[in-house]
Amino acid sequence: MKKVQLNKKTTKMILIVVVIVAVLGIGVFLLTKNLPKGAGNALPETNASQIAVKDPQLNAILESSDSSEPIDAATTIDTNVVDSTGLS
Amino acid sequence: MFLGIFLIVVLTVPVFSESVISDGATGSSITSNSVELGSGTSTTISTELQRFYNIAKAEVDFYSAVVNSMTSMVPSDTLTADITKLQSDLVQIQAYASSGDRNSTKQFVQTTFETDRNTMKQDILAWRRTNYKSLTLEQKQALKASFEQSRSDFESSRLAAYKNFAYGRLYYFDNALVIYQNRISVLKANGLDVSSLNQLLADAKTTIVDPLQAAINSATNASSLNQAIKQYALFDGSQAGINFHLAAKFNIALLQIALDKLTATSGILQASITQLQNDINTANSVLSSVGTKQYTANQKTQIWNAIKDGFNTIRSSSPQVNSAAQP
Repeated sequence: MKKVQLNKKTTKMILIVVVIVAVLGIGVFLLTKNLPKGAGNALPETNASQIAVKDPQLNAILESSDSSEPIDAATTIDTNVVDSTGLS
Repeated sequence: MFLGIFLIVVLTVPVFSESVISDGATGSSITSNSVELGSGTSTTISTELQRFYNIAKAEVDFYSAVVNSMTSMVPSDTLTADITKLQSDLVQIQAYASSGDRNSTKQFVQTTFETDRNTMKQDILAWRRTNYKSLTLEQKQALKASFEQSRSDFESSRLAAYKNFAYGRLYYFDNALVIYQNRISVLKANGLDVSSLNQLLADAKTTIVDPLQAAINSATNASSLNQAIKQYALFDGSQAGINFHLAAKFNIALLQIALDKLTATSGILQASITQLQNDINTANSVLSSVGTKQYTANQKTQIWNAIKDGFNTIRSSSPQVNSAAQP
């Protein structure tokens, strides 16, 4: 049986790849282990939105807010009727 | 010589943009709705797709009347077939418009309807070249009278279509103002000073709603009314007219009300107050540079990021408010 000999450079490369994979694996584990069960792929909410706003006035202000400018009732289908006259 | 009887009205390819009907004010039914506007008068309103169909119908009706007059004097199977095809196209446009399918409407009009209309126009001209000289004087006079009546009917239908759509816009604006007024009522019920918000709605009515109402009332032709409709946007929907940016102004005013409250509350971190003030200043500054024009993409991002950041600052200040409220 023929024995495969790896030189030092190849061995070093393999070790580097193994270390990178291990670090990535641990990272993914740490990032996902705290996701609530049943959350599926939902991302956790931001800290700001998780803070309960108990003050009724501030709460009323937040509930009255928008996230963007609404779209005006569209005026954008533009039907221009042009006369290209015939006889005169 | 008589005026021409073959005046050809060309409905140009509609220009659709990404801005879509989202008001929910009139639904998607092709049948226009009758509603009570702020004035207390009942009127008919329509969405843009309904208006589009109404104008296409007015045009097909016009062509049909003209062709009927022509073929009653010199029959033409070609023209009869052309009109039948256009009327069939109209049914399809109605179906797309009723379902609120803008893309299919656009596609169908730009291809099938345009092609069929051009074919008919060519056939009308061909009929004229072949037959007009052989008509009697009485026939030519009758044809002219018929054309003028059809033309008048067409203009009336077109103006009505634009008026119904303009009333749809007013209805949408009125609904939007009611929504914001309801929010103000809740804020007032919570003991907040809402005078700045009330003033904002009053300005919106004066700047946008009232002028549009006046334009509708005084409109005598469809083209001028169409221009007037495009002129006024409560939010950011007018390319060349006045955009009020009601939502941005309302939300900045909300931030200011919150800032006033936080400033008057002991125990609030100065950093939070400074941050909120900076957000308000940023949003106000960019909005001021926008003026009554439409946002650029960058301006929109800057304004709304500042507004969102302001509300996040309010959320993060909440525990401090709660602490300050503790005995």
